[in-house]
Amino acid sequence: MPFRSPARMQLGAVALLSVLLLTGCVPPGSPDTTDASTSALPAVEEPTSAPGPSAAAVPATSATAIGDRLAISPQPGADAVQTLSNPQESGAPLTLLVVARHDDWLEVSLPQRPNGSTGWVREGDVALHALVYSLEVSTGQNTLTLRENAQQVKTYPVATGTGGTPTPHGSFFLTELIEPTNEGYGPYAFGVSAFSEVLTSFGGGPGQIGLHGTDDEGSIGQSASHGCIRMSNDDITELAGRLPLGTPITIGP
Amino acid sequence: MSNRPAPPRSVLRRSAAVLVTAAVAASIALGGAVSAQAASATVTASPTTVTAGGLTLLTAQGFTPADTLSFDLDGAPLTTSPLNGSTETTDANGDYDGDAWMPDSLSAGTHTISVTDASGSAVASTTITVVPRPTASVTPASLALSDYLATGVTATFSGFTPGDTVSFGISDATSGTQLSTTAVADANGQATLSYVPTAGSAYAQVGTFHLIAATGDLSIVSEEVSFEVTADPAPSSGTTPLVAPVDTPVAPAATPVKRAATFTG
Repeated sequence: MPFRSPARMQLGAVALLSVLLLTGCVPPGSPDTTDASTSALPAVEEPTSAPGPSAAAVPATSATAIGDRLAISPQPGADAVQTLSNPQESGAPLTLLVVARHDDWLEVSLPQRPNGSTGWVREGDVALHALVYSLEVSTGQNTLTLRENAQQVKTYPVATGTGGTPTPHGSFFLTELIEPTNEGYGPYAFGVSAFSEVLTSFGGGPGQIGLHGTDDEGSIGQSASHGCIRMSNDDITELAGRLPLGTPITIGP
Repeated sequence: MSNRPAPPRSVLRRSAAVLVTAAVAASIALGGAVSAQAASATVTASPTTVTAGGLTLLTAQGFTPADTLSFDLDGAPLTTSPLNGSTETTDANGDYDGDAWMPDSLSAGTHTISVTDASGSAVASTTITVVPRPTASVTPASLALSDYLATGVTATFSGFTPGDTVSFGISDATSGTQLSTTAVADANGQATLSYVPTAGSAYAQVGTFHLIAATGDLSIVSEEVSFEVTADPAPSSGTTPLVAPVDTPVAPAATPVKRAATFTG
């Protein structure tokens, strides 16, 4: 309709955008720490990037603790500032995603708040494994894409967090695989090294994001969860038989 | 959304209002969708076809001069932004023009907008048709800053009327602006935006950004689509990327642990 002048249209458009900003549901804050650290590393950069052949053949690497405790230092060569138990509290072996190397020290992603935390471990304290699989989640599309050596294998429909309890964005990894004895999670539940930005506790846990099945398959394909990534029980069973701990999972818009 | 901030007023609106008034008169002469329960009170919406989140201009006529009007949409209060003055009050001729933003939650279909004067003795209503918002997609949805500055992103908006001139806007968490680019919707109703940010602008940095598209009169507003710009690789300074040695074994599938799960669900 030609009734409005261009100047008026522009003013209105700006107002409209302002309104959209006020009502938007994109969670604030980008995982700069995670992105900055992982993007320096071809070994794990690919999962954070748009599909591309350049980094396709470079697998990521996991580090599994050898002893019953793993010392974490803030810098290569520095004194440890924390230790992590192996196995983890869940009973799963302590496996972390390696993001960089400095001499005989390895920088690893840590499954703790704030999201994107990293620390350094001695190479001799861990066993390394190559990771050929990676996952990409789109909270906008509610899909999860499985890649093998960076080549797309399959895309699954999933449910992700609502506007009030969004699934956090960033680069993470699978921390454990649970065969739940309680209802609601389906036959399998992977822990993800991400934590809800709005829920500091949930169901007796610390608000950790999971990738799991569901008793509510009707919610799949929608933004319906408390932050977790829900799949059909058949799909999570398929992934549970395939994915190792440490597998990178990138969550984006 | 009834609590949308009013669009900034402009002197230019006066001439726009004159045009709209003329158009409304023509609409009435042609038997437009106007009904009046009071003797001569009428209200029209222009345009009558909008999306949720879209804008329409409401013109009320035949009321008492300097009368205070109340608008509602399907019975719920509807705030309008007057083109003249700052209150929803009729002028010396008993007429009023005001912009109304449609709520984001408004469903597709026919909806009724009514207006009542202060005494409740004059009432008029009209109907609008709400159509689905054009859909939006962007490629790539995530990219590194250097790639973003070099090649930008391409957004596709589908669902406009072929031939519509479409404007675009970009926003981040704190600000938004209209882009100078426009496009004409093709025969399939699709409008495409190739956006390369201007270096140094507020939108040429790491972050999450949102794109929307709308017709020139803002009556048809698309869904929003978002993309993420990530930091470029930092210089290595003694830290080297970890490439697994050739003889590194491939990790086996995880062994499940049987216990209660406590994830966020």
